[in-house]
Amino acid sequence: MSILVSDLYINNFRSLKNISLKLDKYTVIVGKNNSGKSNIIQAINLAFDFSSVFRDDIYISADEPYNESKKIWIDIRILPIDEDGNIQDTFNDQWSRAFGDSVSLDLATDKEYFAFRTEISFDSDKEIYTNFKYKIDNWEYEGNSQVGNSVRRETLEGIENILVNAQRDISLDIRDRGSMWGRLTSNIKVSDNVRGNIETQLQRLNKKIVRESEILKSISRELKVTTADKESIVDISPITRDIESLYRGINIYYTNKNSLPTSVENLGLGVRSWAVFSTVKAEISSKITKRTLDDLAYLPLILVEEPEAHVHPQAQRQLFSNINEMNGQKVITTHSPYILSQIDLEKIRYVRKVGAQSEALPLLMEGLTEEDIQKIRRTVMSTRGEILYANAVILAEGETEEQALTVFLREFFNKEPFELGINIIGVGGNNYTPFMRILDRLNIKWYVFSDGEPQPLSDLRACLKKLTGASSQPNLTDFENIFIIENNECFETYCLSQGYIKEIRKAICQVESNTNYMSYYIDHYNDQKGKHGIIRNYKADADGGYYRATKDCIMSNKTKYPTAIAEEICKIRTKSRRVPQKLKELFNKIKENMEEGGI
Amino acid sequence: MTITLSKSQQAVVDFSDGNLLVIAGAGSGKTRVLTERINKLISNLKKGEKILAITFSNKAAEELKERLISLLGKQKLKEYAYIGTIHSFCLDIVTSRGSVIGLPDDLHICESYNDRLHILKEAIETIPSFKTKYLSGVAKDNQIIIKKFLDDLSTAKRNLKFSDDYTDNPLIQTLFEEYDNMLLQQGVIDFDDILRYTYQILTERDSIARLYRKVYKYICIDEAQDLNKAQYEVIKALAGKEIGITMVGDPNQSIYGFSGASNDYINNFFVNEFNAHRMQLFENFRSSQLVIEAAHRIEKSFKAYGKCMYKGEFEIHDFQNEYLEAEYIVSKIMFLVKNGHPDVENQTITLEQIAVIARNRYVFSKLKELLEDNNLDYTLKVSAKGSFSSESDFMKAFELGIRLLVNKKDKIHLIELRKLINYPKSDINFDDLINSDELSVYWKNLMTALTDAWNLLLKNEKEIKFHTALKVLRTFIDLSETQIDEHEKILISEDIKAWENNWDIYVKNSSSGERSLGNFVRTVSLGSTQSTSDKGVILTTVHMSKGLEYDVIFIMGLNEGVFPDYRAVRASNGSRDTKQIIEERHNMFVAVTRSKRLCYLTYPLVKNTPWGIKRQFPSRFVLELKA
Repeated sequence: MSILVSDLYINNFRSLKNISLKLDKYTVIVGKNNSGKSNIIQAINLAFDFSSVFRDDIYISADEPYNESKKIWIDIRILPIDEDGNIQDTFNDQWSRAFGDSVSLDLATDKEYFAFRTEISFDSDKEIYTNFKYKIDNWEYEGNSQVGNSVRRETLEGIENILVNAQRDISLDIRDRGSMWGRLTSNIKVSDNVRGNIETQLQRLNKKIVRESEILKSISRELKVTTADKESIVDISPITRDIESLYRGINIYYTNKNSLPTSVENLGLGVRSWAVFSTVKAEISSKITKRTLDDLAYLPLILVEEPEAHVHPQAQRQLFSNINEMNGQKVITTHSPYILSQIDLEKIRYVRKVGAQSEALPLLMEGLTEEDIQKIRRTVMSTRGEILYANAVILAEGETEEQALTVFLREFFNKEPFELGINIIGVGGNNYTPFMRILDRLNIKWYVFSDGEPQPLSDLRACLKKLTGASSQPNLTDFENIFIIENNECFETYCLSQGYIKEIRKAICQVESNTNYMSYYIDHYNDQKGKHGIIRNYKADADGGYYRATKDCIMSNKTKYPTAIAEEICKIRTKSRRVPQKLKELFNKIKENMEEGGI
Repeated sequence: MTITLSKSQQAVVDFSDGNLLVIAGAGSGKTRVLTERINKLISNLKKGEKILAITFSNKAAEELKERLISLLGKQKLKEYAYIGTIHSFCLDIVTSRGSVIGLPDDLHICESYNDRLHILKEAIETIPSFKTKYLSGVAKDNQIIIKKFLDDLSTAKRNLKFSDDYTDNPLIQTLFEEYDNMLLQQGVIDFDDILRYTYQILTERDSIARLYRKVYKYICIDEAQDLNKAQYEVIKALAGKEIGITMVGDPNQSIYGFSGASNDYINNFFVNEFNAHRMQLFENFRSSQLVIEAAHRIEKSFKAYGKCMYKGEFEIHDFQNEYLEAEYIVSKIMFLVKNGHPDVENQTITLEQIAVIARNRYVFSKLKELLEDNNLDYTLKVSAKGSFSSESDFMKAFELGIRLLVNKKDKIHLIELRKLINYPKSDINFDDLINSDELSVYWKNLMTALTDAWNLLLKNEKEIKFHTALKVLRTFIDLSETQIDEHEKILISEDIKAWENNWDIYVKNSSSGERSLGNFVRTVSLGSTQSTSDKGVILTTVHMSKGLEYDVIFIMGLNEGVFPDYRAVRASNGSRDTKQIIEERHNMFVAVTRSKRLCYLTYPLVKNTPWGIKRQFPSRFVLELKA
C-alpha cells in the first residue's frame, strides 16, 4: 500500500485530552472497559473524513469545563514505506500525485512525509462544529506543529477509512442500500451477452410462476380489468426481471452436511458479524482493482472495534488472522485474550484512564530486554492475556494456590473475581518476573501470595532481585504487596495450624469419597515409615494421631486438596473464621488500595 | 460560446514539442489561446498532476480562471491547475518550506515602504562606520541617501543578490545583512524576498524542487515580457530539465520596467537556455479597424498590434437636444440587440456587451429615464465601490466640509479640501481654513454660502435640516449669475439634486432616533443609499471604465466644457496649464478604446438648465475626429 499512517496525536476529543500514539501496519489497542480505546478509533475516523461532532465529544474536566472556543485537534503523519514496511525517502508516483505539494520534507533527513491537522471547532454563526484540515509543514510531536494551508478533500481521497464495529450485522446490512454490502451488490456487473440470456430466462421463469400460481393468475386478471386503457399490458413479476435490481432479493445461505440451507438472518450473531468482515474484504479488493487500473493511490484504513463480539473463542483466533490478512492498515481494539495471544507485542498499545482523561502507553515493550520480551510473550500473552484488562492481579505460586485463592476471594468480597477485575495467576514456580514487569509497566497493582517454605521464598527473592535490578537479595518484608505465610509453612499446614483441622478433614474425606478416610489413613500408615525413615506412630499421640495424620495426608499430594479445603473453610458458620488470617491481610490490602482509587 | 481558432492560434494550442515562446500582442486573442492551450495540456494529465499558470496580476489570473472554469468547471480546474501570480505561488513555498533555509515560521509580508524605510534606518543605526561614511551631511540629504539605499537593496534583491555577494564592500554587506536580519526578527520579509528566498530554497534543496516537479507537469507564463531576473531564475529552478514551459508575451508591451524586467528574458535566455520554439500570433481580434483609426487620431503615438480582423463601425451624431440624443442611443441599442452585427462574435449582441460612457454621471439622466421607459436593464458605474462623491468643486467642498464637521480629526479630507480650494499653507485647521483671508475671491464668495449651509446642519442635531441647507446653496447659485461657469452651474445643480435624493433614501431607511450627520456620511460612503444591480447596459463614467471592454460603446454628451471638462478648458486657455487638458485627451482615448467593434459618439446642440435653454458646442475631440 506504500504508505503508513505512522503518528497520531489527539487533543480534546472525548476522554482523549492529550494523547500520542504510534501506529503500525496493524495496531491493537487494549485497555480496560471505558479506558478510551474506542475513542481513539473514532478520532482516527474523524481525521480521515469531514464529518462533524457534537458538544458531548469535546473533552471536559472539572478544571476545564466546556466552552465554545474549545477545539478538537487530531494530528496525523503519514510516511512512505515499501512492501516490507520499511520507511522510504520519497512517496511513490501515485501518492506523490495524491498528496501533491502538500508533501513535507524532514529538515534533517530530507525524507518526505505528509502531515495534517484536523481541527474541529465551533462555528457560532452556523451553530455547528466544523471539521477543517490543515497541512503541517514541520512535524512536531505532541501537537506542537504549526499548521499551514488547508488540505482539500481530494488530497485525502486515496485513503479510505472503513469503520467496522461490533454492532455491524449483515442481516441489517443486506436491507440497507447505503451499507457496504448494499453498495457492492447494487452494482452487479455481467457481460452483455450473458445479460440477455439471463434476462430472457428470468422472464420465462416469471411467466411460469404466474401461470402455475392460481393466486397470481387471478391478481393479474383483476389488474387487467381495472385498467381503463385497453392497450396497456399488465405483468406480474414474482421475481426480479433485470440484473440491476437483483440486489433486492439477494440473501446468504449457509448449508452444512445435515441441514437445509439456512438464511443468514436465521443464524447466530457470530456468523453474521463474520459475514460483515467478508463484505469489507470484498469491497476492498474491488476498490484496489479499480484504483490500480486508474493508476491511483489507495490505502484502506480499517478501523475495527472489538471484532470478537458474538464470536466464539476458537473462531476469534481465526477472525483475527482474517482481519490481519486484509489489504491495508488496520487499527483494532479488542478485549479478547484469544486475539491478544496471537499478536506481536510491539503492536499492542495499552490505554488506561486516569480521572476523566485517557493515557496511552505508546510502546508496551520499550526498554525491555529481548529475553524479557520472549518470556512475556511465552508466559503472559499466550495464555494470560486477560491480565491486560485487570484492575489488580494476585500472583501465586501454582495452579492449586490459584484455585484456593479464588474461593477465598469470592467469599471475602462476596463477588466473582472478574466482577472485581481481579485476576489470580499461578505463575508456575519461579516465573514471577515477566508478570511483574508487564504489570508494573501497565500500572496495574499486583500482589504476591506465597508459601513460606524455603524454596519458593528464594525463588521469589530471585525474581524480585531481577525485577528491581538490586545488587543484593531484597528483603521481602519491604514489599507491602507481598504476603508470605509465616513459620516456613505452606498454605495447607498454615490452615492446619490456624485450627481448621475439622474442615481439612472434611475436605479430605470429600475428595477421597470416604467419610472415614482419616481413620483409614491412620490405620493404614500407623506402622509404616514416613519421612526420613521414621516410623509413623500416630496412635501414640494424645489426639489419636489425627493432627499429624492430617498433616501428612495433605502434604502427600499437594495439588489434591487445597481447593476442597478452601471450600470447606468457607462453609464455617462463624463468618469471621471463613477466611484465614493471612488471606484476610491480603484482601484487606487490596480493598484498601481499591478504595484509595489506585486501582 | 464556441469560436473557432485561427490557424496560427490553433498551432499554438496544439504545439506539443517541448518549450514554446509565443509572441502575441494586445488583441491577438492571447488569453484565449492560452486558455485553450492550458485546457489541452490538462487533458493529458493524470489525476493529481497540475499545470502551473503564472500571470502578472491578480486580475489577469481571475480572467484566466474564469475562462477555464467555463471550459472545465470549477472543481476540475482547481484540481488540475494552479493559476496565480508568481508571488502568490512563491509565497506559499517560502511560508511552508522556509524552515529549510532557516526562515522563521509564520512569516508576513512587509508591504509598507515606510516600515521598510524605518527598518533600514534601524539597521544603519547599528553600523556607526556606515553612518560616518555615507550619512555625514544634513538630515534632508541623508533622508534622500537612505531612500536611495533602500531602492538599491530592492534592485539587488530582484537580481537575486544576497549579502554575501558584496564581500568587496564590507559596509554594504553588513548593512544588507543587518536589514535582512531585522526583517526576519520581526517575522516579516519584503516583497522582493519572496522570490529571492524561493530561489534559495529551490536551488539549495533539490528535493523540494523535485517535489514540485512531481506535481506541476507544465508551466505557462502569461505576459512573459515582464519577467525580471528573479522571476526568470525561479521559474528555471522550478522547471529543472524535465518540466515544459510555454511563455506568452509581447516584447513591445513591457510595462513593468521599474521592476527590472527586460525583454532579454524571453528574447534571448528563454530561447537559448530552454531551446524554446518561437511562434507568433499576428492577427488582431480585439479592436475593429475603425475604432483603432479613431484612437490613433486622438493619440498620435498609438499603434495597434497586428492585422485587424474586423472593420467595425465608427459614427458621430449631433442632436437638437439631450432628449433626442438619448432617444437615438436607446433605439440603436434596441436595434443592435435585435439584429446583432456581423463584426461581433456569433453576430449576436446582448445588453451586457454594450456600454455608454460619459464624462460625468449627470449626462446620463435623460438616458436613464428612457431606458426605464423601455424596460431595458442597466447598471450604473459612476464611483468606486458604490460610494458617492460630488462632481462639481462647489459641492465637493460642501461634502468634504460635512465629513470634517463629523470628524474634526480627519486629516485626509482636510488636505483634500485644502487642495480643492487652492489654499497654499498646510498647517491649518478646518475652522481657520474656511475663514481665512488668503482664499481667492472666488472661493471666499462661495465659502460664505457653504458656511451658512454647514451652520444650518449643526444647528439642530435632533432634526437635521438637510433640505434647508441644500436650498441655501441652490438659492446662492441661482442668484450668482456671472461668477460661476455655466457648466459648473449645471453640475452643481445636478449634485444638489443627487444629495437631496441621497438624504431622502437615508431618511426612508433609518429611524429618527438613529439619524445623525455622522451616520448619514457613513451610510453614503458605504454606498447603501444607492441601489446596485449587475444586469443590462453599463452606464459608466470614463474613470470607472478603465480596464473594461465592450463590443459596443456609446460616448455621449461630447460637448466642449463637459468632455473635455470646463475646468481643464479653463486652465489651458492661453496655454497656461495644459496638464489637465492632456489628461482629458487621454480620457477620450480611454473612452474610445473601450470599444472592441462598434463605437458611436453623440452630443446635443442645446441643453435644458434651471436657467433656461443654453446653446452647446461640440467637443474639440469630435471636431478633430470629424475633420
